[in-house]
Order: sequence, then structure tokens, then C-alpha cells
Amino acid sequence: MAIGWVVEPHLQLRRDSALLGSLVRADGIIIRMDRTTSVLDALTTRVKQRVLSATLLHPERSWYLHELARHLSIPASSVQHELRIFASAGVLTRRVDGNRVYYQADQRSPIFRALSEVLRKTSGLADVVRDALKPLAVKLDVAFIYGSVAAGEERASSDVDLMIIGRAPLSEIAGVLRGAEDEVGRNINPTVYTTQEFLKKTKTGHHFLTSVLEKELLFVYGTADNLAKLAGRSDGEAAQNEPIRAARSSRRRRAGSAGREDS
Amino acid sequence: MVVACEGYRVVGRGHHQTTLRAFEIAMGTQASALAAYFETCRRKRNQVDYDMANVATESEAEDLVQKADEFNGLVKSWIQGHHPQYGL
Repeated sequence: MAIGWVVEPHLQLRRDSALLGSLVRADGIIIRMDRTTSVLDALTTRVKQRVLSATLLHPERSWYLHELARHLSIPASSVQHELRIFASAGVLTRRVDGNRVYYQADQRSPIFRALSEVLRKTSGLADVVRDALKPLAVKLDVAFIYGSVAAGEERASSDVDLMIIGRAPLSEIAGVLRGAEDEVGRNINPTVYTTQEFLKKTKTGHHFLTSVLEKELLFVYGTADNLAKLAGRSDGEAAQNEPIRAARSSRRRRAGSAGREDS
Repeated sequence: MVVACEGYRVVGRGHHQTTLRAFEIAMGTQASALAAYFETCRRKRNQVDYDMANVATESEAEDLVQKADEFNGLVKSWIQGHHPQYGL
């Protein structure tokens, strides 16, 4: 999600439903964060995004045209147009079986991994989960996906492990995630901490939390800095903090094979 | 109790999961949120039993106790309304 910064020196503090996130005071100037265009919307059309998400985020399965169109609730003519373009570009494979043509992600494509990662972090799981949690947004401090999905190592049957820190109880979170599970085709397993319990357990080196925070995280709400502050670390410590790492590109995973650094 | 009142008994593998689905069908939309919640708790219980003992948090445990009480009341009220012959 692209964020635009608007500096308004004499802005009165007021509630504005158009504002996203918090009002931050820095050196007496109120800085307002405005939501602009999503990253994927800036890059490509919604139909292309959804076709790519359905195929590249589930590379183990193939689709025939009408099956995919029904799944996406998009007219078959629109889906067909995109499938032909992606097959022609080598992003999808095309296989004829009887009177049906099946399309599937081509994992041999040199951009398969990169594209999947972009999708996963945007129109993929993170966005679906974020949208599902919106009704509870005011009660959330930080939420992130961890485990195999965040590390990009998930299998078709992998669950989505989600950690939520804030004031929303598990009973409310379970309810809003149900639709998201249907959409991503996976179980979403939330673990919920109050900020007090999270602080207490990180301070005492709680084994489960420590092991989660040492690995890749895919933020749904909040940032690595917010997380570090909840764990009782200062801004300076947050930047250098080893146990808490924000979701990165797959630099470590690719360093050995690609031989180049990600930007 | 709800499933039994409706004249069914859950057997076989996945009986916990089936029971949750069955009571939601029997009780309708009033039970949907609780059914989703208890399904999440069921999966977490499996994780605690088989994978990691620490994935259940204190706030989750407190929430579960409260919701169990709420569900108990909902079930009693449903049985009184739908199967008063059982005299709850």
C-alpha cells in the first residue's frame, strides 16, 4: 500500500474517516498519513491481479477457463483474454485435455518466484487477511503472518499462522477470518496476545515467541518498529534488533542460487 | 447435547470437527460465530497437543472460559425452546 505524506503545520487534531492509521507528531508538526493507490493497482489491472493470484499462489493446481471464471466471479471472456496473454508470456502453462484447456502456473518461469512473492505480499494472503480484519482494526496494534507462508516455503496444504497483538479477543477474530479462509483456501490459525502479555513474554524470553520473532514475518497491520516497541524496545534498538525482523525479500534464500542482491 | 436432541450421534474420525459443524446446522445462524470460534480453538488444541505447547495464550484461555459459559447458556436456551420435553 503506497502511503502519501502530507505535512500540515497548523492542522487541528480531529477524527477524519478518510485518514488511515495514526496522526504522528514530530517536532510540533502534525504529519498525516493518507492512503493512495495500492501497489498492485498501480502496476496492473484487477482482473490480471486476480488471475495471477489464483494461479501463481496455488501452483500445484490447474484450472480450465469456466472453472476459474466461476471461482473469481469474473466473466469468462475477461479471464480468457488474460489467460491467453499469460500463457503466451510463459507465466502459465497451457494443456489440452479432451475438450478442455487447462492453465497452471509455470514454475520453471524465471520470474515465477519473484511474481509469487509480490502477489503473496499484496493481493495475496496478506491483503485478504488484512481486509478480513478491517472490522477490528481499531483494536489491533500489530498483526503479522509467520511460519512457512511468511518464509515463502509453504505447501499447498500449509496453514496460515497469524499472530495478533492488541485488544481484540480470539472469539471476535475467529469470526472475521472465516470468509478469508474460504478465499485463500487454507486454514488461518490466529494466536492472540494482549500487549501486556506480549511484553511480559518477550521480556522473559518466551520460547515460542522468541522462535517466531527470529524468523521471517509478513506484516498485515503495523510494522517491525511497532512490533519492537510493543516488545519494549526503543527506536534505536528496534533498528538493530536481531530477534525481530521485518518481512524481507528472499535475499537469504536466493543469495546462493541467484548470485545477486535484491534491491 | 444439541446434536443428540436432534436425534443424531457423531461417530468416527474427525468427530470433534463434525460435532461443531453439526451444532451450527442444528442451531442456525445464532451459533455461527461460536462455531467458527470453537473450530479455531479445536485446531489450536491439536497444535498444543501435537506440535507446540506454547501457542495458547493467557488471553485466549480467559476468552475461552467466557465463551464456554456463553455457549452453555445458548444451548440451554435452545433446548428449552426446541426440545422442552428434556426439561432443562
